[in-house]
Amino acid sequence: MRSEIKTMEQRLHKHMKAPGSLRASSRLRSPAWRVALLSAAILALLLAGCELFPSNASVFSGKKYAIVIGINDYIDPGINDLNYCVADANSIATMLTAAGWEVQLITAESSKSTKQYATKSEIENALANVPGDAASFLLYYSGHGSGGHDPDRAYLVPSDYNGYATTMISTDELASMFAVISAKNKTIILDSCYSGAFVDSRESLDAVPGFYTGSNIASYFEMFRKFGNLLARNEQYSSANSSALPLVISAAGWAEESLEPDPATTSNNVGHGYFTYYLLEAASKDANSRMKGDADGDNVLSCLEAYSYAKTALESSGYDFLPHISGGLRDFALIDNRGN
Amino acid sequence: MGKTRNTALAGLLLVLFSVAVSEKTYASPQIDAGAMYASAWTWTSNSSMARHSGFEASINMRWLFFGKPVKNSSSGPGQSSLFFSAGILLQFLDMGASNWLADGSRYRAWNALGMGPEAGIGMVLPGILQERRQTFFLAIAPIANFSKYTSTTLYNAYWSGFLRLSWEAEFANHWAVGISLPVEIAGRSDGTSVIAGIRAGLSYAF
Repeated sequence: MRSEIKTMEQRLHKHMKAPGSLRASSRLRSPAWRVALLSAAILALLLAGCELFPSNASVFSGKKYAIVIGINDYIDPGINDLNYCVADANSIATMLTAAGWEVQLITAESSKSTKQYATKSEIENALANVPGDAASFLLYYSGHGSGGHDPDRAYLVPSDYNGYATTMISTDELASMFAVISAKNKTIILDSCYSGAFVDSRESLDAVPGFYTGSNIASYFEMFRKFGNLLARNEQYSSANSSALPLVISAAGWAEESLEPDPATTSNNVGHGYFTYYLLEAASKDANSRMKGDADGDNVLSCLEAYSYAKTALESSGYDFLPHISGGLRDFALIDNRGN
Repeated sequence: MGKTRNTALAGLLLVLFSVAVSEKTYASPQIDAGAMYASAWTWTSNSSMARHSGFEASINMRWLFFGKPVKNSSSGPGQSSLFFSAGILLQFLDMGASNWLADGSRYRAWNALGMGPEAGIGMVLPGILQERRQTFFLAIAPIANFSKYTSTTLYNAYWSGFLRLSWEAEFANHWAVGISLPVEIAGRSDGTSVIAGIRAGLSYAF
């Protein structure tokens, strides 16, 4: 037994002194090897960090309910009728219905004999009767807007507008109507003139002014100069529970008109208001069956992605109005194509 | 949160000042640059938590204050030394939109440029695992961030608090590589974001 142990000791001793082992030991002690091993360990940790917290893509649940309004025809003959607002509403309704939204469509066009459609009371009633079990609610409006004098005040113009402000829907009235809607995610999309007044940038400041001229977007450094103001706004909104407010997208700034083609003079008539045309295009699919506005490729078109697509398209087309979006941390799904 | 942050910072500055004015203080400037794959978790009072992915890159310029001279690494291991530090942190953060929540909402993508004074405490430990010195370091910083929601023209700003635990290993004279575990808590509008990850860095001690 003892001799066996001695033999093992001798073998171990011999092995430890083997030139190869000595070389390996020296190699590991050399600075270059240590740096390489350390770098490999750091790289492994970084790569592991990428997979430590995998994304959780939830399946959406809850009813999605939308009221879609398009007004071509105004009862008062003194108000110019519009041409493509009903087409806007019909296409938006089709898009939303295909994406699983329950849609209430309210339109007013000249072919309707009574002309008593899309009145203020009809719109108010529709908003007052949004189902209480709706998890997501969306209001889309395409029609005349009034304003242009106050960055925080504008109006949606129902079909029965008679020249008095009380027959329009003001920013305050719309906010009151939305306050009683219980849906958790509320979105307002407005394709109307001066609709930027409905958009509250909240804790943020928008680099695009309400009177866009084609070249007056504030630069990064110009916005940086408002740093103190921005910090104060963030503090102001820290307790405002602003994430519960509706996400608002407007076609134009508070002092801008939102345009549609003139059927008599426009050669390349897209058949929609320009903003809505690009909004619809954002949800249309490209050759790879991917929604054009789905910037992150997750098969969900978010409100922010749709806004961004329309804004980029309008900016590059040279129109002198640009869409705006409200501030806040949250974004909502507009079209979910993950199941298709 | 602001009061606690200010008290902690004032305490650290007091310690640093007392060390700095001591006759036996040895100061060493250091610059450190690094980046990480970052995760962020955002929530509000009425909306669930969701996770963002993105990256963060930062540069730190700091002075390390030692109570005794630290032996030059080229002359072999010396004694362990405690140090305090003060400096400036500059960082850029770019986070994608969060994962979707079951209610059909998510949190927006944002990017931010942040800067703030950094204070820390650490220890140089020579001769562990290798002959060259290693440093363990804990730093905190309040950061003022100038930010923007990605793909929008909306700019905003917010304060965040930053804590980082680091380990650095010297691999050549003056040069060290390191990894650190930063955690940043940001008060953004009516929500909160916690940003964390594993950061790899390279530092140079003058």
